[in-house]
Amino acid sequence: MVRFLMCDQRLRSHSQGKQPMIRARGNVLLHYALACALGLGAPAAFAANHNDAPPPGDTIKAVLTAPPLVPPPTNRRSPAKVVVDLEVVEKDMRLADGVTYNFWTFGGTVPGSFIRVRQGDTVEFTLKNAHDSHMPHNIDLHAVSGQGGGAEATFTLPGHKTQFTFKALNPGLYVYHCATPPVGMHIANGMYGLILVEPPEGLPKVDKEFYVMQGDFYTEGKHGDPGLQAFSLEKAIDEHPTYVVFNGSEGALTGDNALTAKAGETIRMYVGNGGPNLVSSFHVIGEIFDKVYTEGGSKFQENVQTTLIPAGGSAIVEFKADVPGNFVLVDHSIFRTFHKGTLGILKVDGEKNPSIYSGQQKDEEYAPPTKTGH
Amino acid sequence: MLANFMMVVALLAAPPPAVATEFVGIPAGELRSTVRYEGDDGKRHVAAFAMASKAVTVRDFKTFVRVHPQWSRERVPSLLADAGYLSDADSARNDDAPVTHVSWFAAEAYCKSIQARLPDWAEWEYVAAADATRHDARSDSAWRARTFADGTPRAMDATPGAVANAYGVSGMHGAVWEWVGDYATLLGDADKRGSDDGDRLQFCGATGLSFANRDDYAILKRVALLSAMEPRSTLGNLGFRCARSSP
Repeated sequence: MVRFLMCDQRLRSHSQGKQPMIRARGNVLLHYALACALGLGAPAAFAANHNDAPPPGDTIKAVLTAPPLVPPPTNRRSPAKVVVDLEVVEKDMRLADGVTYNFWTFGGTVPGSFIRVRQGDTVEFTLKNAHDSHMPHNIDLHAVSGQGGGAEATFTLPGHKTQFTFKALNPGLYVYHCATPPVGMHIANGMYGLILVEPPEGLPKVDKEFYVMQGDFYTEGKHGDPGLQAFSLEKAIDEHPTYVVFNGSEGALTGDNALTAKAGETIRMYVGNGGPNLVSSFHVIGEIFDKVYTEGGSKFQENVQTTLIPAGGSAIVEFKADVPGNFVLVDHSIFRTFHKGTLGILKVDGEKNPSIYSGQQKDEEYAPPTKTGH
Repeated sequence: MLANFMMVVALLAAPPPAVATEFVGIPAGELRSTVRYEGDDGKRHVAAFAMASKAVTVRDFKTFVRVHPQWSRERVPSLLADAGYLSDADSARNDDAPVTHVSWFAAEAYCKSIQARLPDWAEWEYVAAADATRHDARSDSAWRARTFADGTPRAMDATPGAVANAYGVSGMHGAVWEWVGDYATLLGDADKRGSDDGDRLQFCGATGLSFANRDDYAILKRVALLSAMEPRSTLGNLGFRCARSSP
């Protein structure tokens, strides 16, 4: 009975629209009417069109992953109700060898947990703030159409949880971040991550997907000064970072933590930039991006060497790992790579393919210029 | 029942509990507050008053609850304190540590019980501007940077060697935030949630509008915290101290 009433209200609000609207939505209206008559909720009206859709009223709990992992594709032909449950945790973690920092995180990692939904999904978002947090936090998801991107609805005290619901209207790769004052400090301490809203048809299948996000950090001590480093407001205001890193620390993507793939595999990287200040000249040494979905949007550019990723923005890059080798992820604003930390490795194993890349073929001296006689 | 009644009578008849709160006289003065109310420049006149030299401790509050059992965890109405109220009082915490998990209502009742009140925000900010030697140390960016850790175990006044400030008041920048009497008016509106002023605090890029000093992050954080509270809310790192108006 209650559901019927709700449906009835939705019908009425639709029919209050302008005439052309009603005509355009005639089919949807019909579905609503049918669903109401059957006592089903609105999602069922859409679901009825597809065989592999979740059963009516089904709710999906979003799989969240820590970087560099990415949740599996949604593989859904229809929208669903998706529940996202994310906890803010403040914790000391490694920033570089011998250097720790009190990070503020979404889900215990920097960047925060990767969230993956589908366009049209209704996302019920719960933000928890751990009991031992020292202050309130919230979340502004750039994927949200609504006041503050959810910030107002999720202003959450330590030990509390808040909830709001949004519809993922636009596909794309979006940054989320904390927007509690002082906003810059929350972002500088690591409070950012990515949410992917897949287009209805999904993204083309690839062999490997990775989650990489750049961030700049401002510490009282110099780069490499050991121990727990405090946040430096002065350096942050001056935009002079001590560290610029991928995935929250120097070495997050090198050595044993290097990303791995096999020659011949297709690779997609979801690359974000949390800032708070710097924009990134993202480049992979020894590769050419076959496609870059610039700024995380729907259109791709082809054959790109370096792509610019704004603070609070993203890019999706795709390429085929044609040959084996160590391919180096850098911010090609290159002093950051050698002095502040933006360095990651994609280690590609497999058969060499000399027709694409020979490796060194010669190393020999060549004759000096002949001296002209007097 | 009768026994309970007798005990209450006995308690009422007993001399006031021996909570020795030391108050320090604070001279009147001008404060340029970091918090701007609607349409002002942050200038405040602070009248002479007295501030407790320390935050109320676990032991102090236990004494208060013994005398006023309506403020015990078991008996306090949920309108006046949330589920977290005094939730860590029985754990092995140091009795000399500042009491936490107390609601604004409970803090106010405590101060009334010792013929005092909660300090106003302006009074709190005025006294908290001092370091060990200066009444207003806020232009010292190195000192101010240390206040960013307020409300955390790394706070400067939570370290073992911490000394009282130039007024003789201790712990203003400790591991525990503190209630103030007029916290609910900090944003210039009785109900800040959803109001324009509240929004300014919560969103990107707008924080500069409501603060006279944009880089006083310790104050920004403190106001953000207090603005999230309801008077019945409690937190594991929020306590209080009392103040008295000058006669």
